[in-house]
Amino acid sequence: MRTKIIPTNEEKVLNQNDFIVSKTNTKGIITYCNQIFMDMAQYTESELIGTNHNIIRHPDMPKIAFKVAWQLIQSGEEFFGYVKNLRKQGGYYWVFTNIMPDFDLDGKIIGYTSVRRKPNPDALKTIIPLYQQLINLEKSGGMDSSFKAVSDLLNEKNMEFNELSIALQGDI
Amino acid sequence: MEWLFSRVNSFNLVKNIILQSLNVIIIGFSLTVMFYGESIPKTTMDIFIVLTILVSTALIVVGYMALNRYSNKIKEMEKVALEAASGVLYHRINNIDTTEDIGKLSWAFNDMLDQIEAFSRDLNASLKLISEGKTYRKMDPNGLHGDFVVYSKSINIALKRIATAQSKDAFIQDMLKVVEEYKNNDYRNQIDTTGMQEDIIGLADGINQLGEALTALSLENLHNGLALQDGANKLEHNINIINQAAQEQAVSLEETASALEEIASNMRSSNENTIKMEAYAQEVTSYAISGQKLASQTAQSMDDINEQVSSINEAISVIDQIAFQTNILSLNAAVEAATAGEAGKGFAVVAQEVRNLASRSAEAANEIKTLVQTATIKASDGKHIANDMIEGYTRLNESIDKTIVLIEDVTTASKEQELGVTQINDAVAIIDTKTKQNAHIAKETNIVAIQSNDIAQKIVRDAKSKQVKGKENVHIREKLIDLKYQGEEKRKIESKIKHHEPL
Repeated sequence: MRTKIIPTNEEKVLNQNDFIVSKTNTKGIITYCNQIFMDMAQYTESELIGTNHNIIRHPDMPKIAFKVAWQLIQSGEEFFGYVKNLRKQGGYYWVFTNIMPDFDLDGKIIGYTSVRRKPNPDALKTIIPLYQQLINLEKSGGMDSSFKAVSDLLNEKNMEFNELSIALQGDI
Repeated sequence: MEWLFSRVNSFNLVKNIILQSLNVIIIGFSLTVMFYGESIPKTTMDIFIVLTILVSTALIVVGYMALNRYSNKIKEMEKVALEAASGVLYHRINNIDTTEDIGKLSWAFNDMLDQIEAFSRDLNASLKLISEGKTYRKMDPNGLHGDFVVYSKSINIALKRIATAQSKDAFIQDMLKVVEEYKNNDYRNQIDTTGMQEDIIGLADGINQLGEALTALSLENLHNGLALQDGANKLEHNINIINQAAQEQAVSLEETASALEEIASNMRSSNENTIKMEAYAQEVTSYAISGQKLASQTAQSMDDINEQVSSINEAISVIDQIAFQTNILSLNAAVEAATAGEAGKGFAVVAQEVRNLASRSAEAANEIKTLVQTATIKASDGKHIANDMIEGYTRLNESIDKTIVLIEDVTTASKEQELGVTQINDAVAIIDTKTKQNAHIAKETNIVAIQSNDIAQKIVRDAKSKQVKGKENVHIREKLIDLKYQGEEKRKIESKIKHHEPL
């Protein structure tokens, strides 16, 4: 049983030369995490392995972001997105996440591997207010309204979700 | 023990604690032996020995377990390494104790696999997407190290090149598509050169200019075709009207000619009749003149009768006087007879008879007088009548003269009319010829109109079969030049017409 973590404003910035690597099974249970992950999330390997990946989910994240991620990776595609993660001590860190499904030799999904890098600070200038807006929409109209907002945005930009994420990241 | 290790998460710690305990025991035992020597009680020695044996045993057990763990880790690493060697980069080593050397090795191993796997997956995903034509995906060198960063950057340059080539290819495919459309007479589409590479923009511009030229040409063709069609239709329609009119005219002219012929013949007979009338009038004139003469002679005769009647009257007066005197003589004879008495009686009868004769003579004279007077009145009446006749003949003559003048006028007019009718006839004949010529021309023009219409329809059909922007806006105006229109367009069109430009 986890005790509820009270989020603080303490930010940990991921080193540009590092990336966080983690693997989960198809249900989101962590099967591997690298040392950067442990360092950033402030958990030990034994605390993380066997736990659901949402252990580091931050309340500032709109649900739609995870819904999009799951939709993409469950259909065998990769996902690119910006995620604010919760540290064990209540702090947070932003990552530019890439999640890919892992396939066995028969092409069946056996898990997911995530590589998370330092997000472009300029991208966060767009993402933070966008997520706030999406959270507000979810509070008033549920995930349907945030889904509609994301769809509208993508239609307006004429971009795929991943394309928009990558475009925001640019070259850093 | 594994449980213990996993709790403290440090195999080294346990190992060190046991080693330190063993050290403490051995050093304690050695010092005790050094200072106290033989005076050490056997029990204490035994305790030390037992402790030493116990701790040593523990150390051996822990050492064995450590070896076992080490060997297990090595086996795990071997397994993961073999998987990686067989191309499965997915597996990692878990439950790593970083305090151990093998733990550090394990992490190095995991990190190496993370590098290789992240790089490989990034590469695979980028290549997969670019092969689907999606160019937004690229290698992310952040977090990768060393050669992987270099490779990623090189691959990104290559991906960019591929994207450019794909984009060019897509543009060229677009161009080919548009050219194919042009080939199939669909000139609506133009090539969008937004984002197009410099070296192929010229080609695209050329194709676009070709499209514009073809569009303009088609629209002009359509416009001209419609105008021609409209003109041909109107021509055909009008020619038909002319044709029909010519036929109707020909019929009317025929009717007119026959009517004129009838009029001419009527006129000729009228002329003949007027000549006859003139002759008759002349005859009547001569009869009237002789009638007048006869009437004059009659009047003269009446005068003569009157004179003769006067003579008769005088003769009657003489007879009357004779009768009177005879009567007196008879009276005298009667008186004389009466005086002669009986002798005279015979004589008295004679005298009486004479007296009767005288009376009868007087009566006869009176009757004659009455008759003569009646004759005088009749003669006078006759003279009056004769005079009236003379006057009547005079008037008759005047009338006949006037009639003759009229007849002459009519004759003159008739002759003029005949001339006029002849001229009209000639004119009708000329009109008839011209009408026939017109009808012939109309027939030939009609053929031309039909042919023009066919050509126009072909042009319009051809032009309409072409897909051109603004095609639906091409209409011909009811009148090419709207005289009421005062705007700019009119002048433009007029100027175009004037300079023989396409409308």
